[in-house]
Amino acid sequence: MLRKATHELVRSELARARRTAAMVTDPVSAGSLRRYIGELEEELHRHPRT
Amino acid sequence: MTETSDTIAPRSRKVRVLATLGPASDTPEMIATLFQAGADAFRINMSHGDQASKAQIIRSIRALEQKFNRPSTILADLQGPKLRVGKFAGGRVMLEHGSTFTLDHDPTPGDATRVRLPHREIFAAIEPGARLLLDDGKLVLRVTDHDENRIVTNVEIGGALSDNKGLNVPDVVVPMAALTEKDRSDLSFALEQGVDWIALSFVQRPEDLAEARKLIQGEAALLAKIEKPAAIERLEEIVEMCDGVMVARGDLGVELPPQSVPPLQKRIVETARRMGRPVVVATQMLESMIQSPSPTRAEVSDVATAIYDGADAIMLSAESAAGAWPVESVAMMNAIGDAVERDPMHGDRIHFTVTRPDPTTADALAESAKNIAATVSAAAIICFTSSGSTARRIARERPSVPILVLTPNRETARRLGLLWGTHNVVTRDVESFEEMVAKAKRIALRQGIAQAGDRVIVMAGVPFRTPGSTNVLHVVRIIGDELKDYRAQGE
Repeated sequence: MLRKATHELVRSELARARRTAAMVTDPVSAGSLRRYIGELEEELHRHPRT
Repeated sequence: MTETSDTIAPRSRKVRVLATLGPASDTPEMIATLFQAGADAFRINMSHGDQASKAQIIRSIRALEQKFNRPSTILADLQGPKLRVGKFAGGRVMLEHGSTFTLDHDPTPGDATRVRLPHREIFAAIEPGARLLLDDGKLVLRVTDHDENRIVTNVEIGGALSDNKGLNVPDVVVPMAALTEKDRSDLSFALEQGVDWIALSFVQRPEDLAEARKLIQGEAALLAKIEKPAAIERLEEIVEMCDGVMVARGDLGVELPPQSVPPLQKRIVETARRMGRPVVVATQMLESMIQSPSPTRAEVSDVATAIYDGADAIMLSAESAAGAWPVESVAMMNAIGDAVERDPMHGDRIHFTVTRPDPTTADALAESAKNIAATVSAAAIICFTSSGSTARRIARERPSVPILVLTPNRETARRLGLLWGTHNVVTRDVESFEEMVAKAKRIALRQGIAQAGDRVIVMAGVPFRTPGSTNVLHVVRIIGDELKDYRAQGE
């Protein structure tokens, strides 16, 4: 259950970060959000859906 | 906290009251009194006091759950990177209009010509012509020259300046870290204590929130305080990245002309509502009640305006934390909320902001629930939710009837305490559609939200326990015998 909750949480965070990144035009913010999205994608692979 | 027959009646108003706790109100008895007077959620200001005393306050708030059988909601407000000048020899100087005043790195106590500014980021970011505002904008300096070691200014508005007064730099984005070392320590403490919301101060960019989200890891919801002009310019990006928004009018009114604040307040509330995030209107709402048992008519009108705009919550700061009349301040907020929401025009005014549903099944059902409730004169919308997402979608529609939220997650029930119009009950999960409908009717009856003969709308996601799967809307009539032979314990 915890594992599933973690997967759902990371997936939700990733979707939010991607939506935000799509709105951003400032290059510094875009770079920061790209790094954050990369970290979340790695996290998602560590917590696959069960 | 599981629903029983002893549960106190739900609030009749839909706007939530958020009360800041402080020296005037942080005893267990006073916290309980504030709750009874109308406080729906409590704010703990991490700028003042030590962590041990805050742990005691948090225990006192959580004790309300046993006493009143209702979820409690706690918001920990981080201090953020508040800029301050250093100290003066003698503690205080007088800056004369038209004089030159320099800010530098020299730790020697300052005088009427200079003072230390312990924030190196500003020296790199500042530009000639930019304003520096001191002591909540009472003094204004204009930058004439600068390098990496000093900022030379002309005093445009002078006055007395004392040790460690606050500094605002409204004309440039200062690349400050979103979280100071103190904030990180306070955040770690607040998460250990299990608070429900974290408020991040002086947000300027969406990545400020990303930094906080990495540390919070879903353990609390994140509220962005909008108090910098830079945040206004990137409002939608910031709202997307957070779970809720606060219109922090104090610093906003320092960095921008005061006449700019009302239209910005409306814009922030409208944006948050449109994007489905709860929005809190804060600062100086009943300021005169710090000293007086009754507010000015202008203050009452200010609170009413926030309610008519459709804010989810209205907040008390020093009025409840440090004033002479904390209980009366909360009771006044409660009374204003009741009065405004009884106004027959309230529904029309609150829907002046159009919140178009996203193209999802859940959003379509939430909009339909609002419309069906009005058409069939339903007594309530009842939703089953694990994450709170369904409740947020329904609240965004601002229906005319109460929203009864049933959730198996205590954390969800607590977080929803800032959300407009919801009455949140922790209950065991359901196994079948029939069980869901029967339970919805029982709890609506027991909570006094519906009576025999009323129709209610029940919403949920099937299969159960799948977050974000809301796909059922069911209209049922309450017979009145649903509680017959049914024991509440274990619901």
